[in-house]
Amino acid sequence: MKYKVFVSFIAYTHNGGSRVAGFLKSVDAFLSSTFECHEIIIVNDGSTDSTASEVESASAGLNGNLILINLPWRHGLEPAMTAGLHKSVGDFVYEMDSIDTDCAEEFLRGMFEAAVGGFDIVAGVPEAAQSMTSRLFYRFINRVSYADLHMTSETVRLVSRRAINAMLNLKEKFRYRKALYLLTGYPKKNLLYRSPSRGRSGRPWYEDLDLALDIVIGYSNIGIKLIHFLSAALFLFSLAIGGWAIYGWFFENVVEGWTAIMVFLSCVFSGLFFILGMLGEYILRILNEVKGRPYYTVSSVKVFSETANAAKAGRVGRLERDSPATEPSR
Amino acid sequence: MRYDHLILGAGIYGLYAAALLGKKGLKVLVAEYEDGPFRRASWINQARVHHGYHYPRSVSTARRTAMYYRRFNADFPFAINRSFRKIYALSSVGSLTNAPQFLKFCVHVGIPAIEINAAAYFNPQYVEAAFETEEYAFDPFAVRDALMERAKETGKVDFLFGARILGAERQGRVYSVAFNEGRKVEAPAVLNATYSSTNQVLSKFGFQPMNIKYEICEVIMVGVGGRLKEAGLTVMDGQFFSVMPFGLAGSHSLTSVAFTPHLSSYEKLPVFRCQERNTECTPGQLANCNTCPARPETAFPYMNQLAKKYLAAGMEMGYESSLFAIKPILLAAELDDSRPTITMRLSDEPSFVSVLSGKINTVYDLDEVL
Repeated sequence: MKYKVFVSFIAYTHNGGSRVAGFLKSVDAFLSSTFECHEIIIVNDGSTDSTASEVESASAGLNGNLILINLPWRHGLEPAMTAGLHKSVGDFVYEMDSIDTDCAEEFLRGMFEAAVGGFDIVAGVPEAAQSMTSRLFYRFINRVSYADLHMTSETVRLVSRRAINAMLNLKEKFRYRKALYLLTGYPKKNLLYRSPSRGRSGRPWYEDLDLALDIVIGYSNIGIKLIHFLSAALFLFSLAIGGWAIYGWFFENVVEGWTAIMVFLSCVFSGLFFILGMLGEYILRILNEVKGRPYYTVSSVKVFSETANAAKAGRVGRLERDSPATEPSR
Repeated sequence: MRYDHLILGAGIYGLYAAALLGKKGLKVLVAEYEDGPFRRASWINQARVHHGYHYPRSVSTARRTAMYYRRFNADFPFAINRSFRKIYALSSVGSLTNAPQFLKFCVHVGIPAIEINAAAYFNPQYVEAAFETEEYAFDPFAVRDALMERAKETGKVDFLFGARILGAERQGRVYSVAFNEGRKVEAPAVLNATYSSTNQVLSKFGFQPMNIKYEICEVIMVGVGGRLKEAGLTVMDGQFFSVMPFGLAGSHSLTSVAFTPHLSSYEKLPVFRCQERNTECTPGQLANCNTCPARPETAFPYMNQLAKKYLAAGMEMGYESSLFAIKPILLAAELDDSRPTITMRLSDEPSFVSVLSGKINTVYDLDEVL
């Protein structure tokens, strides 16, 4: 039985020309056997090989629409996938971060079953050992982040239309979908799958490092907290030094002029660190304004209707409730 | 048989020309492949009386369209559906024109556009702005009947339906055209008013075909309810969609830039895979896509899904039927999206004029060449 939904499948590739035909074939087979209607969107991120022509020739014989988005130069995963998401029209959308992801059809179908079971965001997490660096990174970001992110390596994701709409609505320029989806507040489920190969991003280490820095700055306050803490500590330290210099001038024998210099330095530095701390506070505000994050996200609103409440208390029907008051009016 | 003017194609251009020439007292023959007039693109299109809004990247096309808009509405008042609000919206992502640019363009061309609350019809997340504009739909059948009437009124116009051109040659100052069933027609002037067959006619008469891309296009008839009933919506500018009343029939037409074209051919004479399944349809002579047994399956699920993403809740539509026709697009016009009317006088004595236009209301361009 096919599910009566329209599903979009977005996959990212950079120089995947040799594998893209096989990928399209297997994904199309899965989608057309599982869903009533589907489209496949390939985001070709500035490939210098034959990816575009391979996709075109592989389109013959597919059972649904195929959309190829060619980016003129290499944009990286997040902007490229955002282009794919903007194009997609499905009620549910699969996002696959690489066409080399090796999860089975059964697993993809299981993701959909989990989604209709009440999870707007279902992520596929490879069970193969994470690399040391990514384990350390996720432990760190989950600890320092203000939102309850529970992030881990994800290679494929299935998202409902309302969660995509909410995620695309977030105005932040730095798009890191994994965290943005969590910020939307929709329920999320991670599903593990056994991956024969070790999960690798395929990016050089400096790009990974760059991405890690962006994420830490984007989704935690740790940088600004450090500034606050340091400015406060140095402000107090400068004041203490000033106090010590004045004490020395009264009770100890100090070189002529030392006190004046020390008091001056302490005044200036304590003032400076105070200003730095204040500036940091304003910069934080600006940062938050620029991000334009929603003030709050609500995961659900439940309405207990008057009739339902009355029914629970054993009162049914209108007459009973509106029965005339026994007390006479004054 | 000898005529003063031979017109090929009984679409809106052919019938308009027939009435015009008949009125001048010329003896005219309209030869048409189909069994009746208006069987292809003159019927199977969005049925929009273009006011120019469609061409924000080609002011020249917009100007020309706006010029004829009033004239067409005055010419066929009984065929015009004015009973709906025409809303143009600009997609917030992937549009080639943004709202300020569109507004500036409207002012420049001199066509009205008033911004309205986009959320009334659209999902505001995907729409930058929405404008209420002035644009109507025409009823192709009412236009057809009126033009047939006007042509017949002159008493000078004959019709040859089910015509097949077997050969055409120049004999001194006349063209001699051989049709099926042994009919031979001689005329000192020929007008090629076909649309998708324009290159095929040109090559039969020994002229150079134009650089054209052919698309097999689907116009979907949908049933709508609620507020959509009184509205025509178009999301611009790029691969978006349009849903608007189709003439006076009560249905809406649904079209989308990405999903309406099903198959394309870049050959000068159209070559399509589906022709293998219909022997009557060849690169030399196109048959009717709408009645073809090999016509494509509908793209309604895709168009509907695209519309669903952009429209506000409660604007659902239900599939009724599909209409298919071939649309030729000048390759030179792909870049700026212009849709000029191409009129070419290819020969003087005898005269041969070829006209190609994708819009109904620019039919008045014919006045200049006939």
